[in-house]
Amino acid sequence: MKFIWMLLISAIIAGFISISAMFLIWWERKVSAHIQTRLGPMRVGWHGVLQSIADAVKLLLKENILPKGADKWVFLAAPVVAFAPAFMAYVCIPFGEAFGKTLIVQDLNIGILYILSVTSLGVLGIFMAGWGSNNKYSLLGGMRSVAQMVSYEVPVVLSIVGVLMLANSLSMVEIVHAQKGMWFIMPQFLGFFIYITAATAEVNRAPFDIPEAESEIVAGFHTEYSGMKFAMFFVAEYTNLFTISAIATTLFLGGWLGPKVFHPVIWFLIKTYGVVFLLIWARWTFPRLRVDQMMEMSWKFLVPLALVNIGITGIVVLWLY
Amino acid sequence: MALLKYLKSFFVGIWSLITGMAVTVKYLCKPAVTMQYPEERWKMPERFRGKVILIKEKCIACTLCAKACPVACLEVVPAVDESNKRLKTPAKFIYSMETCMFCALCVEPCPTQAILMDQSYELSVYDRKTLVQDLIRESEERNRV
Repeated sequence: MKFIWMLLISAIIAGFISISAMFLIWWERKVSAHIQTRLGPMRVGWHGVLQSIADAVKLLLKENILPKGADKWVFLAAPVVAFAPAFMAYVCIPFGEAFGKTLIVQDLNIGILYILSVTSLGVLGIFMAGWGSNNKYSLLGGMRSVAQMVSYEVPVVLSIVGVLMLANSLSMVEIVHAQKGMWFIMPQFLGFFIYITAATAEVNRAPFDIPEAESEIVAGFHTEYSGMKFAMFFVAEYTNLFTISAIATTLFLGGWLGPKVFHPVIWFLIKTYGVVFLLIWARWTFPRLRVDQMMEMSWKFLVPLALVNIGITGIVVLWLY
Repeated sequence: MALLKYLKSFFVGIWSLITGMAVTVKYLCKPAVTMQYPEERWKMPERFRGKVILIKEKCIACTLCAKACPVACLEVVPAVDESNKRLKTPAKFIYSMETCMFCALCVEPCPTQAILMDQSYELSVYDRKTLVQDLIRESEERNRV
């Protein structure tokens, strides 16, 4: 019985991930197009909503290519390794409250720690792709990615420490309940800013997309990937985008809390897609950073700021709260 | 002093980011300039030089247009009666679009404004033979419509 239940939940999450990723891809194309006063996809379905499905079908039908001299098993396993952590992070994302229950697969008491540790495994898949492709651009992209993700892990973790101090818990549900009076974005604005910046870098999105940097290293780690394997990387990327936005919503924007106008789940999705919009907007505004600038930003700018934030939060929580 | 500089760079940086975001959101709200081509089309200006057309009734078959054409893409043959006398109407008016360079030099000398250039610009065809057109027949077809 428990096994069937597990299977059902994972099927629901897999369905949600694919639909969400397809929607996000379409939405990103539309927003980017309108920012550049274009229209974007318009032909397939109403304003091109079915474009992602058409693309997915096309990718499914493509040939499975293995480059000559590639490390076969590493090359084949890389998309799965990149996708699995993105999938696993959904275990601890609270989608809202319905029928007196919290919509979360498992409310771990170390929820946020679990998500952070699991999502940071994604870098392994990217480096495997870079190594396994037997391509210098891929390897460069993979190495850049590792350097970037390892150094941005630090500000991500430090930026949410302030929230954890205020909420007094690591459980995602407890953190949302602690925001009943005031969303944590108010006292933790600095933390929110640092989290959003570092998380953007963490998922390799522009302006921190130097691991894929089309104009410098072709497409980085996924240069040699095509068809369904490429689609896996793509879906993983957009799933990660949704995950970091969901974490930002849970930690800073009060999760599913909101006026009784909408259902809590709707509130959660509105806020999450709002954060996604912010990230898309930033992506189509800012130019890409150089490698050294990006490292400097992490170690000289975000980490000290996050430490200052923790210090101030500590003083306030200890003596003034 | 260094700290002040650091803090200043912080605020200047944030401000420039906000400025950039404001620019993009402004463009996000503007209507797109893209045209959905087969459904929406450009309306060409009045004096646009498109395909050459003939108004058969006005034509007096003086062949001034054919003489003016620098690439000789017009072939005008006047009609004749039984006594081989030249009539003021064309018997043959062939326009070869593959050599035409859309200069409108044929339009200018026409004493009756019988030859004109229209606003059409979708002139590609599947077969080269269709580029050579009989303008008299085309004019008659236009009249029927």
